[in-house]
Amino acid sequence: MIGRVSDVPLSGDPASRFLPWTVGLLVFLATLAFAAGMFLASAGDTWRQNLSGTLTIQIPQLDTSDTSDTSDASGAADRRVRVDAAAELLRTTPGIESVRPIPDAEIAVLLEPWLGKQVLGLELPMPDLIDATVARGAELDLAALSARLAQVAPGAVVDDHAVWLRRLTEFTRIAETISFAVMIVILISAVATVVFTTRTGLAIHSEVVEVLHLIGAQDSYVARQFQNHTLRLASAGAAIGFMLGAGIIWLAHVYGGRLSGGLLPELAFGPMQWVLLAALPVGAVLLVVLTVGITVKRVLGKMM
Amino acid sequence: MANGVGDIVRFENVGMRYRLGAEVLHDVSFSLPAGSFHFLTGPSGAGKSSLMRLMYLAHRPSRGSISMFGRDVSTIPRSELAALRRRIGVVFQDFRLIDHLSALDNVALPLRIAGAKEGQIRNHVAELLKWVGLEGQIEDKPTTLSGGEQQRVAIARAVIARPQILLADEPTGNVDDDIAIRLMYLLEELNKIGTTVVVATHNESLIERFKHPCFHVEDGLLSGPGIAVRPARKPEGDK
Repeated sequence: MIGRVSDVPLSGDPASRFLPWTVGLLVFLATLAFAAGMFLASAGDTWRQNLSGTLTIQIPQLDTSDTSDTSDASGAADRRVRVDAAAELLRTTPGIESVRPIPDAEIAVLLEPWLGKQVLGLELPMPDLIDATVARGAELDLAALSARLAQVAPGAVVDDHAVWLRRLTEFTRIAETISFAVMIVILISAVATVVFTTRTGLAIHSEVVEVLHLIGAQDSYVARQFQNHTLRLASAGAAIGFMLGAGIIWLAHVYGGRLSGGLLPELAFGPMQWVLLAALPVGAVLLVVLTVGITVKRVLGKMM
Repeated sequence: MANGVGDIVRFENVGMRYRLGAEVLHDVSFSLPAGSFHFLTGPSGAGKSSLMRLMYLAHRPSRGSISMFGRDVSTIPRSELAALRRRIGVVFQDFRLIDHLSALDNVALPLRIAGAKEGQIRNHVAELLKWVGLEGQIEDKPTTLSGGEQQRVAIARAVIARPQILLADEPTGNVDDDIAIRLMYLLEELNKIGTTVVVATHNESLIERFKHPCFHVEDGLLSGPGIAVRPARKPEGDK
């Protein structure tokens, strides 16, 4: 069939001329929606992996406003003593794998998006932070640990990120669901467009289709005429739509990291994710071609 | 017409209507033996084309039964109709050629539909177009051909797949007498090699010239001297 003129003259149909653009636009939008869904799933996993199994211990600075004889140097030494004591207590606690006091410079980097680069010069009463990693499967008694820490570092707060993690998980799941739902709605729109285009084509060429039937064509022969035509148009549209979508994703990868300031994980897909993304236009074209076949056969099924 | 085992077409008490309209054919009963040649005549609107439509399986009867090649058309699954249609060649009154295809591609359609190999199609089709006198117009589109040339392309398309029966609806309606006679000789040649032929026509001179049995349709009723037309079956309860 390919390489010779189609028996049904579909090329000149007005509806056919719009099909590549329609499929291209829908594949473009579906690619972005699918990419957003995969990014959110990936980001959620990254955040969960980073946060689960970790503790953050905040040790607030003591209020020294009423002790006029305390110098800055002795205050700093006092802070160091409390942080070291808390870190040592954590290291000796069963179930805790590693302990890392976070340097002031690193805390400043975390606060930089809100307070600017001169955060250290502001002399703010920033708490000291200690990151602790909990061994896989270990069950810590956080209340007991908090009580012991309060003895060596008064005011210390243990944060296991449970509330943040739960909200984050809920948010990413909702966002993922919305992204994939949008993608499915877009694909349903593509199917509806193709059903309309095919029915229009069948109505326009009903005489030719009847002649084909009367000289012995099976429904599948007529359906192939429409499917081959749609395959050519939809493939071209899907390729363009996918390339534009992939271009946007690449731009987001290049410029997105700079804009997010470290708040979001990097928008970079692995090979498997690119394979899934590239499968989208292929799947869309197959869906469209399958839809055409089913539509033609259903309409012809009403003829003798 | 004898009720023989070799009947290629058999109608029994067939009635036909379009949708919910009035019946256009009433109690039509006849049979055609394989290898026969018949004319079908009658005034315009009498039901000739409707009868042809039933024979080339474009329409189901409203009542009665139609048997083609020994298969009851009323009960045959839709998926098997295509195979039956391939055994029927049709020359439509308005030709029904596909305008964007060349004469060659129009004639090749039945072979392509039957799944013939492309390599074999071109030579076979070119040979047939030469036989109908169109060797110089193989690549021409139907819109550039005269009425007579289109007629011959339509006939070539109807016979290319060697059908068992050829149904021609007014095949000489758009050509002058000389070409009409040439076309009739062509149909007789096909009949001689075993094809059953039915020609629906208004052309009395052709019927006079070519001595073949003749059906006559008038007001939806089929009759014809010399043809074994079955009497209409009485409605049930009508003793």
